[in-house]
Amino acid sequence: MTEISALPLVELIGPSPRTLLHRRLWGHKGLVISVALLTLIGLVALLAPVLTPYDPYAQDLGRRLIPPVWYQKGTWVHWLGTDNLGRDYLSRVLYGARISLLIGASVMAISGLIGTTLGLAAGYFGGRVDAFVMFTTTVRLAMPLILVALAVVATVGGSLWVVVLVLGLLKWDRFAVVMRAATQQVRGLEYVAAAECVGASTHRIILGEILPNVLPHLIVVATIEAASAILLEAALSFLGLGVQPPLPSWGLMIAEGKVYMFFSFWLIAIPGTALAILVLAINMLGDGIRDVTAPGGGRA
Amino acid sequence: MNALIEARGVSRQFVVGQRLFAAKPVIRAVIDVDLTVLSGEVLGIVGESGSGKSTLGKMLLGLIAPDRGTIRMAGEDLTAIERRTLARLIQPVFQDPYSSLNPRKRVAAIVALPLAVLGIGSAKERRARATAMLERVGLPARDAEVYPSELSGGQRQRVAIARALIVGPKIVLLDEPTSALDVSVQSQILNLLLDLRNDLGLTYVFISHNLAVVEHVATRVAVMYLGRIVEAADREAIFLNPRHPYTRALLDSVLTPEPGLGVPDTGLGLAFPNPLDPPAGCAFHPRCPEAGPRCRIEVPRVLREAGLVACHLYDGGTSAA
Repeated sequence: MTEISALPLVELIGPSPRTLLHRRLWGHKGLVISVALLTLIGLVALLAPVLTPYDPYAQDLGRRLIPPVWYQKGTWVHWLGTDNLGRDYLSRVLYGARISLLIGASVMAISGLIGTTLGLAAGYFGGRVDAFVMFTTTVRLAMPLILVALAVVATVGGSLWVVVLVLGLLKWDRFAVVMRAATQQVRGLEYVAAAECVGASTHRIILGEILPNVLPHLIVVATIEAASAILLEAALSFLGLGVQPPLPSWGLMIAEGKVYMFFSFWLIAIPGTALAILVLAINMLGDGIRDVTAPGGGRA
Repeated sequence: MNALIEARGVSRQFVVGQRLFAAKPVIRAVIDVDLTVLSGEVLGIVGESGSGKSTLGKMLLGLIAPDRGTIRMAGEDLTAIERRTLARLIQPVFQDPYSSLNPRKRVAAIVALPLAVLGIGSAKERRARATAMLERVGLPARDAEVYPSELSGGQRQRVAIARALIVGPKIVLLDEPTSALDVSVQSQILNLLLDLRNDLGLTYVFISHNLAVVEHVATRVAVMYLGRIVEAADREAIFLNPRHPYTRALLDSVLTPEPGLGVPDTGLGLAFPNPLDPPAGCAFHPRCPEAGPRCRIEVPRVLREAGLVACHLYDGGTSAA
């Protein structure tokens, strides 16, 4: 006689929606890893003054180009060594995280605000508004970012805020295009028509009915744009058009290190690695959010 | 009985696609429609897909404006009625209960939205009224807290009905309110709609392609074909004594519950005409079993005696004039 055992209750009724959501979030490895990395980087940026005893701007010409600890000549006094002016490299990398995160967040905020407004308006109103927005977007896409940045820096001089403004005012095109398409799709749905039939104001319909339903698209574009802004800042700083010395921007650190590249490779390898990890984490976050919020989405 | 809606000569066309130099292709969705809805009646509007019935409904809701003609609601021109006043006159219930409720809002917020827009009551009062209205349409109070995705199609349609009724409109425009639902749920929703009409004294405009449903709820029926109303009459007259050949064909197409009888032959043929290039004369003539030479040339007049019919059969015959 075969043994008959009771089916466990959990197997019988299945997991609750909340459990399913948790499983979805935790089951997506990319999402978990990226959130962990970004939290770590964020904490490091925030706690930089606590984590390192050195001033990132303090020069000590007697202690130039000390290699990191894993080299023979390395010392535990400067874990990641010092740069060509004798500044502690670990402190500069940690403070550099602040600049990268600041650039990513503020460029994302400015360009997101511009692009989302334009895209929502184009998708909701259509017609002439749509034609105007699409024309403006085409014009914007025809302007090479680096050249515009070059012209602006040549005119007003480079600084952190000039970089934020130039990138923020130029990088809204993807927001506009994606928001427009998503809005057009939602606008045709009947709950929008129902809101129109009760006389809801345009502003209430856009903010209450449309925006919450295009938010997943917005979040994904925002992460892509934040990562791309961080890379562009590094590129501009490397070219001398962005953040100016002595601020410890990762791109600028690579530029300053390139003269010593053959004998002190760590000078460019360390900020380069930091940059790569940050951008990778942000992109993984965007992909993860896209997967998890997709209909029927699980792990990818 | 007084007329709540009076539409006169209403037309609407849509430009489809883009042509740079040639004339842009145009669909004439609604052509020269006269329609009267009396207070307290249920007017069924029937027709195939593409007959213009939903476009007509959207014009009655004020969502799109007619190109020509006038719509008067309760004696006033629709274009002159303030949007929020119109909201308390006519409210819609749409076909697809999956796209007619905002998926990011809880049911209570969806049902209370009209009150919030019209600035009625405090947030607490609106909530209480929403819950009461949900109970009125047969949903327990606990459903006020859930998101639409947790409800079935029939439950969602009840939420849509509650949202339409919460501001106390005179007219409810029902655009295929049951066609997306299971058959067993359809009858529940129809009976709920009929109960609500009796209790609240509502007037319905009921758009449907399902004649059996229309026969169940309508007091008067208008039949549309390619943008025109070809026949309108009281329910009994339409179902017992259809006059227009298209109405007859539609009635023949209703499936019987007897499976052995198979699919009925309507004599219509398979080809629905291209709405971009509708037939000349009477738009129905290529499919009409009784068409004569006159039908190919002349658009039939609308005859008004005991309802309305637009067919040459009742206007001097189908032979060439």
